[in-house]
Amino acid sequence: MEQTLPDRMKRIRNFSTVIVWVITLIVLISGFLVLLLNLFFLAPDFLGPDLLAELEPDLRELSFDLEGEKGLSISLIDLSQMQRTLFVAMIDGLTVFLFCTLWTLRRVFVEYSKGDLFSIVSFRMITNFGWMVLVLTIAEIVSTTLQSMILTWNLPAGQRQMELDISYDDILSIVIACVFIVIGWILAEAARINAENETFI
Amino acid sequence: MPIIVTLDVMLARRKMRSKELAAKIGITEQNVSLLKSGKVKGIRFETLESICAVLDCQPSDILEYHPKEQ
Repeated sequence: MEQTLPDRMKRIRNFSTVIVWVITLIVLISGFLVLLLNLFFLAPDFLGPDLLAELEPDLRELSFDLEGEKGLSISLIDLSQMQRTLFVAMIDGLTVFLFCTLWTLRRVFVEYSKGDLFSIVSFRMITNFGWMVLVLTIAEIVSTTLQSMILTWNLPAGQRQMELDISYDDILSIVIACVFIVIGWILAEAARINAENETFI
Repeated sequence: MPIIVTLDVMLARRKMRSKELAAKIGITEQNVSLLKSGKVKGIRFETLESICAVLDCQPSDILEYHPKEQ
């Protein structure tokens, strides 16, 4: 059965509203978890002994397996304070950037939930989202190298590692980001032409 | 712009008000006003056809070309 335009619009608006809430919840829950991680590693006294004891088994499992000849596995809880601070700062930086990226996507869906499908603002946001995904993917590749350096810094010479890992997912993310950027540009051009057409009587 | 819209002259000749023209050709009075003042980028053939039909005139009666002086 063919959908009428109002039905389709209603569906787009409803779906976009759901996506807006999902993204908001993801950001809030992830933010809370990252805050807990920060408190645990940087200010454990703040959490209190009971909560600390409850969280410790889960956080002890947070280990990083480094590739390489010896296949090193390092638990975050065994790191020095300096290493923890650097590591958590890097995770925080990436998380904040990830939140900004998600928030940009949220803004696109906010526009759609208002029924504003062809606004130049939403198309610019799509381009921005593409750029942010691209930067985030590159930052993740770089951070993997930095993480391996930070995590193995206190090991004796010969066991320190510098890992460079570009996975299939990273390449796919870069391609998808480029597609978003180009689609954003094309849609922005379409919106400009549409706006120009509206000045015709 | 070298294209001058002389719709107001034609309306005066036909003793018709903008509101009446707008209602007959199915566009808003505001758009007729914009058209009269020449503050539009273009006019659709469809609109031009309706105006010519209602005012019983030719496109050249409402559009004039005045080249810019170099």
